[in-house]
Amino acid sequence: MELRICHLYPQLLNLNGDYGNVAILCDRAKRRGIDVKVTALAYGQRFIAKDYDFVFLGNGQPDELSAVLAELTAYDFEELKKYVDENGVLLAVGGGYELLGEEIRFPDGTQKDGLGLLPVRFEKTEKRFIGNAVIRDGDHVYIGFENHDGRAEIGALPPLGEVLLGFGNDEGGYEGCRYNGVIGTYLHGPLLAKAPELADELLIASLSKRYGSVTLSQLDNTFEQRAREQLLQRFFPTE
Amino acid sequence: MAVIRKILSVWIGRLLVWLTGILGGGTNLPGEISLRLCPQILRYLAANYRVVAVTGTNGKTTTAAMIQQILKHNGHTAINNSSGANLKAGLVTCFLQNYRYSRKHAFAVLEVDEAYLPRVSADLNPVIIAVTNIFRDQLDRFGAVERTRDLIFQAFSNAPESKLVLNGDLPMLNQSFENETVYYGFDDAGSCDSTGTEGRFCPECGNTLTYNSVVYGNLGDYCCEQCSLKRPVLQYRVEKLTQLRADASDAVINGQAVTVSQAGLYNLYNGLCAFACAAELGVPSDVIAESLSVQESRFGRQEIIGIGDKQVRVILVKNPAGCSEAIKTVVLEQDTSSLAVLLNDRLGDGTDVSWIYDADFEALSKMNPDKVLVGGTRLYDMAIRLQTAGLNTEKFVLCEEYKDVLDAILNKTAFPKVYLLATYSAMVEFRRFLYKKGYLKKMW
Repeated sequence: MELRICHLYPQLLNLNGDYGNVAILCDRAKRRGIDVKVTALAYGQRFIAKDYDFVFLGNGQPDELSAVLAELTAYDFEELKKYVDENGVLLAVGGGYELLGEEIRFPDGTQKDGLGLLPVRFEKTEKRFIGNAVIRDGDHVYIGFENHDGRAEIGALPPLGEVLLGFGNDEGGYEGCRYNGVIGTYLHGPLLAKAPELADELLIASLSKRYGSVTLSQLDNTFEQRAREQLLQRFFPTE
Repeated sequence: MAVIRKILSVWIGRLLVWLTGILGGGTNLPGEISLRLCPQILRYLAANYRVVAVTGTNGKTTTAAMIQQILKHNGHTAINNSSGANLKAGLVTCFLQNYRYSRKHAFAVLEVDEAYLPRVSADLNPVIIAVTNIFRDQLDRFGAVERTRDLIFQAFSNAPESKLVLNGDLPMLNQSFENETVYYGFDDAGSCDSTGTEGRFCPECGNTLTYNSVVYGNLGDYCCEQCSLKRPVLQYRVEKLTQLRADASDAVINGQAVTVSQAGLYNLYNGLCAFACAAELGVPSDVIAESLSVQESRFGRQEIIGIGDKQVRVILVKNPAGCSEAIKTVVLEQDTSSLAVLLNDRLGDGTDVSWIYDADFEALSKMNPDKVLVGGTRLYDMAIRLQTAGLNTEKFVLCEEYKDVLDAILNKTAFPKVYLLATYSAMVEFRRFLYKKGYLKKMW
């Protein structure tokens, strides 16, 4: 089996170690004997939906995010929309998450259109939400770090998880969102580092689209489990 | 009244230096109290010195130590804030500790934190302000490289008489300043390193830069095809990179053969910056070269600590660029050795550890370590990172406490050399632990 990953514009959007999400997926796939091909889409290269099983869109500085938004809007919108509509698996973090939304509103009253691929609206604030973050997604707990000045209004969409520590989308108790095959989140860390179950969920979803039903062998997640135990003990000390 | 406050401030400050010295030192309390008594005390204390201020993301401590040693080698008196106390109170403390030199028209070679330089540059009135580099550092602290750059430029305009010694290979320092400016850099790096996560954009027009050669990260001989910005003329240059070894580098700088006794390209940059500053202060090239070849490392910067029959080389890592370079240096080691990585997430280290995914730990696959010790407050995050980078997890020894790290070094490694990469607080804390156990003669 082969996993084809597209990392959108890593030269421009590479803040906060988000590239690690791609590295972790590659590593977990390779350890199961799955071949991995990562395409680092460069500025000027075009995105073709059928060529990829997993797409990653990371965080960047405001200027770089604007450049990427302009590029994607002008040239790759159709293919990206096709990818999202057909339930392609996509992880978008931070600024990348904001790009996919319908609009971003700024404190001075101005607004900017996003790609409109996620029915989410964003509002930039004067406040910065920084700190360790913990969310619960069903039986699993994900630990990351957030650093954003935007709030996400996800409306009726399911969140990625319930906030146990941190600010989440809008201090309303939930973080991130899921829409078709897309996960949007403000969690850095990178997110998948201490979320092996989520990483495997994404791997299965990506491969299943191409190969039909897929099962993956169990990997040794000792480090990830110990990391979670240790950090949860630190963030929520028991008496 | 102002004179009395000044005298009181110095007197009490010196008393506190003496008292805290008895208790082990390593505190900026004397400086803090002095400043409270007399807010202008830094200007007063600095006035008797020729100040060389060194700032930048990486390399401040090493470069400042090199400059101090060169000046002393040339027969001058030179003081230095050697314990890495680079904020305002630390600078004042340094002057108080060295008060006996204040009438000798000595040099004060000071490393100054990038964010604080604009607040102190006018008071320090340096003869030289040197900038080593500007890289992405703790994201949760600064937010953007541009902000650091702006703070440093503000410091320049606050001290327009100061001469600037700047890294010419760093695109964002290519500006014209009111200050007299001198640039240093590499003539020809030999390689074209296309990896690294530092932005390579033209500071004038935003276009992606083209490089004739790259030393590392975004440092090199750059030019912009869109607006024809190019690297400035270099007054001080590495003309030839003779050899990079695991424990030193040989090069030719402005016609002078130089050996920098601390390994890594990044230390060669530090040596080059020190060379440029010293030369601008009138030190002859051969004296500079002699000093650089015997430079000992400072507190936690490639320091060698003997533990039992092991030689532990402590290398401070703070951010992706510095960490990647440290790793490249470690893999030059020919002898089989062990690797230890201590990752903390206290305020001084950066509370967001995701930066470790921007550092090239994958390069460690070129090394075949005997054991990989993993410790620090975020040891499991580091273990996951190293696992993802392809290291053999069977060699990992997870050490939740410093005593476990010590035990592993003494009893679990089979070879004498251990390379220990540590973030700032992990380095300080582990050293403090070793000092208490008697493995270190002095703490600072």
